[in-house]
Amino acid sequence: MGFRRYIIRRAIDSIILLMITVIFNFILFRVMPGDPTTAILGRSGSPVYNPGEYRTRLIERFGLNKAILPFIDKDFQITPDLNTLIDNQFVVYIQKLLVGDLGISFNYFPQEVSYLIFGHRLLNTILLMGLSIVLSFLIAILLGTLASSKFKSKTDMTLIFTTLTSYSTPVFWIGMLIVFFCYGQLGILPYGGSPRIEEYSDLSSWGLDYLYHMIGPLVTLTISFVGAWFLIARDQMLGVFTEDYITTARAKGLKERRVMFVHARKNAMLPMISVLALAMTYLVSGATMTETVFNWNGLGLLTYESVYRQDYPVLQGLLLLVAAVAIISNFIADLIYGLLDPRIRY
Amino acid sequence: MILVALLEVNDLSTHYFLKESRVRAVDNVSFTVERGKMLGLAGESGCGKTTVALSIIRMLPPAGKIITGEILLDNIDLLKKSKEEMRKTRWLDVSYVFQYAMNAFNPVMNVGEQITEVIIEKGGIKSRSIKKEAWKQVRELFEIVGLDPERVKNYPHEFSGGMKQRAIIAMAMACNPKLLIADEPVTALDVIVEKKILNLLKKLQKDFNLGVIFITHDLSVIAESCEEVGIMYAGKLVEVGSATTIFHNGAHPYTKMLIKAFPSILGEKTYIEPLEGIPPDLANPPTGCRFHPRCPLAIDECKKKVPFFKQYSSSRHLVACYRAGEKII
Repeated sequence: MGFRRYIIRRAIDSIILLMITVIFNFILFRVMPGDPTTAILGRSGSPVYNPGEYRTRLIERFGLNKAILPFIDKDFQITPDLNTLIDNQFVVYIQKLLVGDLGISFNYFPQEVSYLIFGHRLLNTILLMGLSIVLSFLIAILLGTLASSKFKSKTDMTLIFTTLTSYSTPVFWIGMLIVFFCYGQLGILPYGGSPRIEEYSDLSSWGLDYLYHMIGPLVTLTISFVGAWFLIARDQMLGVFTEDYITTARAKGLKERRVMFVHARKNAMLPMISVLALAMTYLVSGATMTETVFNWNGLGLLTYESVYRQDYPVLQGLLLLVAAVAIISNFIADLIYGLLDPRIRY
Repeated sequence: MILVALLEVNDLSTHYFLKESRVRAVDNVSFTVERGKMLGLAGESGCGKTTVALSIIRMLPPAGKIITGEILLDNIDLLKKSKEEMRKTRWLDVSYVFQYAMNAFNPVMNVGEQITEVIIEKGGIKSRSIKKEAWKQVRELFEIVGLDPERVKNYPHEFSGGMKQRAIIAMAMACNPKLLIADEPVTALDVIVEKKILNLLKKLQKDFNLGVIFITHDLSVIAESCEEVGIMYAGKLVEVGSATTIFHNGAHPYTKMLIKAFPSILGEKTYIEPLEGIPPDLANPPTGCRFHPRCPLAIDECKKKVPFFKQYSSSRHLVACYRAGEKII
């Protein structure tokens, strides 16, 4: 009974949050400087026969001459026009959003944003980020448990030093070092890129080459993730060790293994779920820097390109996707919290 | 056949080694606990009561070291046991009710689970029938301590303070221990619940012929439930005896002053006399008798020589004081 009400309450919260995000996402890109038409016309470089006419047609095509919100016209002035109540950009945006239409990219004109995002790029990013998140998470928890059980020992100190170093090293620099040594000096890794399945004759040869290309970015990301998460995991374990129920568990003469892995870790892992939930947004946002360094064709690289070329529709789509994933993963994290910690349900 | 006491603590010294100092938290403490008897350990905060208790189950914080002494449980020295043997002894022979009733249970496991795990662990074998048996035992234990057996699967936060304390006592009784150490078990509770918990402990002690060490700073609780009393001051045991002897015929000046500092409900209304001064710094204890700076009867001898336990009014009444029994003006 308690748990069901908790789920419903959290679900409603999440839906409201999602709606607010959609509104903000819409407004943000309307108040940004620059006209989308300038981006298209300016980029093309070719002498357009009649830029003025072309621009007018583009503005009509994109519906940029319509009011932005009810009673607010395209220049952000208040207007008493009743027609704007329904016929405005926001309504069009929501209508298109509901059928999955995120607009058209400027950079890849006339490709659709949804095609650009929900294709091989999304798959590339999910595979790379998913694997590195899982890997780093497991390593961080394992090392965190190890370090906290040997508090202030040489092992502990070495681990802290190593992870602090890797944590504070810029991720692109780690990537560049790996490219420099593994490709440039030793020649054991490829320079970069993400093989596409279409270019291979069968699945297994693609898979092998894909994994081979993934090693570089995967190692880079794992090194940087483990740094931060190890410290959190260790700290949580140490905090739990001083709790009274751990003393009780030890006084009960339980095996130290049981005290550590059942009594301590169950409590210590609760905050790690939040960490994991926050990391879920990386699944779709990708690590922009790592993907750029390794030329890994994922959403991170797309973000970089879009910012560079002021491709607002793509950025808008990416931002919405990231926000949605963040909200959904936090919702799931709350559910897991509720399952693991009986105190939260009420 | 010589009857051996259940627990015999001989000349126990436990010190905490800090960076630059050595805190003599417990020094040369000796006492015995009989089967089916309750020994109350009383004294001001920081006098080493809890350190004595933690030394018995060898659960001292990392800085704490047992320097000398022996702790004989059924004539077996607990201090000579290996870590693994000691782990097996805990809860099977000696269980412990901690000071913090509120946080003694793991919040993410249900209460029954935390009791069955220790039954299964101490039972040795893991099998499905043992698990079932353990849950049955937990229900029985709940009934013994006065909790609703239907609530074995509740989580700790669903229990009130008094119920938690009952559940902890149920957990302490799970493996039929010989000795129960209760460290301020009622301090966090109100007087009505306190009374109920004390009655429960008393009943269990009689029914199961349990030896109990009861640690508290509240003399009224001791007067009510303990057969034997030990008064501690600054890491030393200063007087041991039966409860009636201590309360009516206490010989150590500290004991007398401690009793006077408690208001009597039935007696005349007088001003209670506070104990002047503060307990000494145990990293740097006073020479001789540790109580002499606060003692109104102190003489030169008290400052120079450490007083040892001597029999006073009976063979079971021991006092460590040169001026035992003298009147305080």
